[in-house]
Amino acid sequence: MTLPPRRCSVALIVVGALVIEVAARIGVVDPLTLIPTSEMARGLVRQMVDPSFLSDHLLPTVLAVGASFVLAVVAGVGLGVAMWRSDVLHAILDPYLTTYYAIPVFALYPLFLVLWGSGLAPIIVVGALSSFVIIAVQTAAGLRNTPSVYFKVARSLRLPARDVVHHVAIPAALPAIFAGLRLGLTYCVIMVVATQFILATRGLGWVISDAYERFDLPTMYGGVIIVAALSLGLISLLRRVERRISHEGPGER
Amino acid sequence: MRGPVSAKRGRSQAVTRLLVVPLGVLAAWQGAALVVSNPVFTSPAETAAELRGSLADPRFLRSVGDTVEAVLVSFVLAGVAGLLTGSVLGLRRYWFEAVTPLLYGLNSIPKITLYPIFLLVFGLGFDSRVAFGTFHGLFVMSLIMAEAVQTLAPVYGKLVRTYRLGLLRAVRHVVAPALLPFVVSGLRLTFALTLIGVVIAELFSATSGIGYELMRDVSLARTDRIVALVTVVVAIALVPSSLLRLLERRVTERYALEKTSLG
Repeated sequence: MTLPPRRCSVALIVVGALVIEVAARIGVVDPLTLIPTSEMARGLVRQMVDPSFLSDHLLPTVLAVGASFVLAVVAGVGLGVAMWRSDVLHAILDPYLTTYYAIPVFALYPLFLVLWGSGLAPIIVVGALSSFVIIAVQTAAGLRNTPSVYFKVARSLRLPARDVVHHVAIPAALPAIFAGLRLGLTYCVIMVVATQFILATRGLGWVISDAYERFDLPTMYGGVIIVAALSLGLISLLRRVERRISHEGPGER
Repeated sequence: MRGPVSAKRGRSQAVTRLLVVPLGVLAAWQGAALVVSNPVFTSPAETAAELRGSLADPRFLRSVGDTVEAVLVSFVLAGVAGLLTGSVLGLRRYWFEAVTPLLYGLNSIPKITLYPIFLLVFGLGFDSRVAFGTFHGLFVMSLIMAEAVQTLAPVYGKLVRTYRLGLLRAVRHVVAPALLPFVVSGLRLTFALTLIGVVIAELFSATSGIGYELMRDVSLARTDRIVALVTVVVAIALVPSSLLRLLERRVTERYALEKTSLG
């Protein structure tokens, strides 16, 4: 009997959860390290029904991720298009963009905190700064790798510039751009939560580090699962948007 | 001096282009420092002075050394482990389809939230830093290798069979050259991620290292030192990343040619 791969993925998750449950119950692992899956689930539910958790921690996190992603998309796609139009700009920026990932932007959070106060703004800036570059890189790569014959056809059909962008450039580059958007969204979530985890005093990341410091493992693991669910949920939302745009959007692919 | 003029001009143009970004960043930084004129927003000159002071401090140098050591160890571990797991995963279509979605999911989780688990398992110190750095860089390498092996053109398999190549020669002459471009670009991403992973781990639990210094300066609100430290990290990141990038370009050029000649 062979399962289809999709089912097998689900089965692997279930088996993993069961192994953790059993291992923690019979005491193979240190109870201060790993707790049974059911305890994690209890910690998760306890937080999700707590209104102050939702309003003070979950909501600010979602807002910060959303705002920083929007900023990153605008800046990233803009820069990507500019790097497509100008070879000089591309040559100047390209060597630096690939090392950009290694810069710990979140380390500048204290500076942003002093400049913009303790609201959501500093964290939004950290999230946007960490993710706009990958979006720019992918957008530029997608546009630049479009076979030049596409543009030649457009020219021989005398398409106006607007139609070239709409019917040729965007559809051809869309898969690469969306690959960049997915990575960018992941980086937004990672950096927002990481900054909260290390430096902020609220948000999902803070909840997890605070729970760790109090050895409240159900809350800690529950928080980790909530972050994972948030991250996966946002990504699948983006995939849905991608599928819709590439099916009924400008031009066919 | 006539012949190589154009080559020389090309090189000087490349150098000029390389300088645009650093100079631009410096100018923007200086301008912003003037506009903001807040003592926490240090100018490039003040940061350089701070950095010079730090570099004379043996504790600071030991911290940088510790971080570099932890990054190197985790980079090697993550590279090797990712290469092996990814290649094995890419070999069987079924397991590729069952396991890679899970890896993509795991990869999109902010791994830092799992760091407490590393602390609980490995304790404070070098081991947990290296373990977390490795974990942080492992997924990218593994996923890139799995995709690369999975999408290896079937014509390579036919080639191996036609020439009846043994396993060793098949790996040496067919598989390795085909995979090399992916290995190198995977390594570049892995390096950046392990560096970040180690610094993050140090923010938390270390008694030395760049992350530890950062955290100390954060609690003392020494933004001048924070900015100086970030420039150190950028410098550490820039050298290996640029080398790996050069290697990547060379490898891609070389083997992309062979690929097209193969048909």
